[in-house]
Amino acid sequence: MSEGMQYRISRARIFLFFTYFIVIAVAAVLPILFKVTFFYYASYYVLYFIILSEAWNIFGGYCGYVNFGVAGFAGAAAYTDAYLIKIGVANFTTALFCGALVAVFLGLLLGYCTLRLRGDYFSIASVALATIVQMIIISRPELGGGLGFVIPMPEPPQPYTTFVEFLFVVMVVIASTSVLISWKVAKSWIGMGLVAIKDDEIAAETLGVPTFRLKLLAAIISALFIGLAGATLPSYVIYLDPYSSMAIEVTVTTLASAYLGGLGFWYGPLVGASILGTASRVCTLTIGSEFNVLVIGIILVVTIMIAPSGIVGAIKKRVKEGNR
Amino acid sequence: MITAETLLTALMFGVFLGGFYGLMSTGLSYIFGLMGIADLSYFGFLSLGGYATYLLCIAAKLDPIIAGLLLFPLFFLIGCLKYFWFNKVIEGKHGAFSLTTGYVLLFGLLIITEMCIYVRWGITEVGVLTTYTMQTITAGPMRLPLRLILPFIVCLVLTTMLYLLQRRTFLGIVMRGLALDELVLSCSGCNTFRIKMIIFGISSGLCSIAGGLLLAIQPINPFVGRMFIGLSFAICVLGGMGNIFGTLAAGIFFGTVENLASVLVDRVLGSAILFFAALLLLLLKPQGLFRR
Repeated sequence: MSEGMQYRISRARIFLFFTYFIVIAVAAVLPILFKVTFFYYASYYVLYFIILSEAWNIFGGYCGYVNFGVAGFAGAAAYTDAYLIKIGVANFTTALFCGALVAVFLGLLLGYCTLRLRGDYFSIASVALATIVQMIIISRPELGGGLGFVIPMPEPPQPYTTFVEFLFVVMVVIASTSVLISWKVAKSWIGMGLVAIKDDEIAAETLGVPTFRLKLLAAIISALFIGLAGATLPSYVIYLDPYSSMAIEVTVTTLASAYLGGLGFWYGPLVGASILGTASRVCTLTIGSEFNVLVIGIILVVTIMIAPSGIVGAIKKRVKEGNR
Repeated sequence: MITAETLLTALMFGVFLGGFYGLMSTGLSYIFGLMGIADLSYFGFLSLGGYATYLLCIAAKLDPIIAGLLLFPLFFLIGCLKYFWFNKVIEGKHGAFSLTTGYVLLFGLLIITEMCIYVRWGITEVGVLTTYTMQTITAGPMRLPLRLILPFIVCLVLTTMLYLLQRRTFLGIVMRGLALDELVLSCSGCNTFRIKMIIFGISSGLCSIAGGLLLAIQPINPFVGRMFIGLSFAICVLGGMGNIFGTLAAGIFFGTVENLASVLVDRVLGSAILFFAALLLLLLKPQGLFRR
C-alpha cells in the first residue's frame, strides 16, 4: 500500500467519524429547537428501515446469505422489549438491549444450525422462523395473543417534551451507528472475507478464510441491529400486535431498500431506505397498506430485472464509463 | 384425558394429512431437489392454485379435486413461463446462476402473487362445501372424515404416477440426470433449458392439484401457502431431494408427528417443536433420511 493511499483512507475515516458525531449532535439538538411532532413521527419509519436494511445488507449483501426472517427477528425483539416494560422489570434502555439480545440469540441459533450447510438452508429456516415466532406469540395469552397489548408510554428524559422526540434521537444514534459499523465491516478483513465467501465459498475456505466463523459473526452483527430497531417499535406504536409488527411488509421493504440502493455497498441501503421508506409511508397514507406491499414487491422485482446493482451501482458504473 | 382412541384418531388424521403434505412437497422437491433452486414463489402459486380451483368450482359447480386436476395444463403453462422469465432475468444476465438475487426475485414473485389475491378477494377465508365435506366413515372405534380420506387416495395415485414418470420414462431419466450433473447432460446432447422448463411446469401444475386438495380439506386464505414453507422444505430435505416416495414418506412422518404433538402438547407449540426438530435433523443429517 502506497503512502498516498494510506493518507486517503485515514482522511476518509476522520471525515466519516466527524460526520457521525455531527449527525448525532444535530439530531439531539433538533427536537429542542423545532417542535414539529409530525416530522419525528414520520421520520421514525424511514430510520427504522435504514437500520433494518443496513443490518440486512451486512449478511445478505456482503456475504450473499439471504435472511427472509427480518420481521421475525424484529418482532421477537419488540415483544421481549414490550413484555419487560409491561411487567415493570426494565426501563427503556435495559429493555432495548434485552430485545436486541433475544434477536442475537435467534440469529446465533439459526446460524449455528444452518450455516455449515449450503446457503439455501439459512434462507429457508429464516422464513420458517418468522412464521414460528408469530405463531408462538399469537398462542400466548400473557403476550396478548392475537389481540396484542398496550404498553405505558415512557416519560421522556429532561430536555425533550414528548417521548417521540427522544425516540427520534435514539433512532438516529442507532441508524448512524449501523451505517458506521457497516462501513467498518466493509473495509476490514471481515468484509473482505465475507465478499470472498460470496464469490466462491469453497475457494475461500481453501485459501484459509474461516468461513463458518465469519458467517456466524456477520449473522450476529446483522441480528443485533435488526433487534435494536425492532425493540424500539413498542415505545413508538404503544399498541403492539403480532400481525402488524411482524407483517411481511417489513421483510419486503427491507429487501427492496437494500436492492434499490445497491446491494453490497455500505451506503447503498441508506440511499434505498431513504427513498423507499418515504415512498412507502406516502403509499400507505394515500392508497392503503395492502397496495403499498404490492407496490414494494413490484419495485423489488423490477429493480432486480433492470438494475441488479441498484442506484449506487448504476451511478458508479456510469462514472466509471465516463472516466474511460 | 387422552384416550387410546383419541391418539389413534390423531394418528390416522396425521397420516391422511401427511399424504397431502407429501404431494405438496413433491412439487417443491422437483425444483429444489432436482435443480437446487429454493423456489419461494411456489407457495404463492399454491394459494393461486387454491383460488383458481375455487373460481372454477363456483363457476362450473365442480368438485375441488377434479377442478384442480383440470387446471393442471394451465398451471403447467404458467410454470413454463415462470422458468422462461427466471432464466432471462437471472441465469441469462448473471452468467452462472446467482443464488442471492434469484431467491430474492422469487420471493418478490411470492409477495406479488399473494398481494394480488389479497387485493382482489381480501383476507376472508373461502371454502367449498361438497357432498362429502361433512361425512365420516366409521372404522372400529374411529370416525374418519371423508374430506381427508379422498385427498389421501388422490395423493397416493398421483405419487405413484409421478414415480413411474421418473423411473420408467426417458424424460424421468433426463430429469434425474439434471440433478446429478447439468454440464454432462448438456454435453450428451440434451436441451437442458427445455428440461428445466418442463420441471418448472410440472411443479407449478402440482400447485393447482395441491390447491384443489387443500380446498377440499379446509377453507383457504391468500396467505395459506406461506404456512407450509418451513414444513415443506423440511419434508423435501428429509425425503431425499427429488425422491418421490421418500418425500411422501417424510410427509406422512411429519403429518403424524405434528398431529400427535398437537394432541399431546398444544397445537401451536406442536408446530414449534416440529420446526426445531426439523432444524436439529438438518444439523445432524443434512443428507436426508432417504437416498436421492
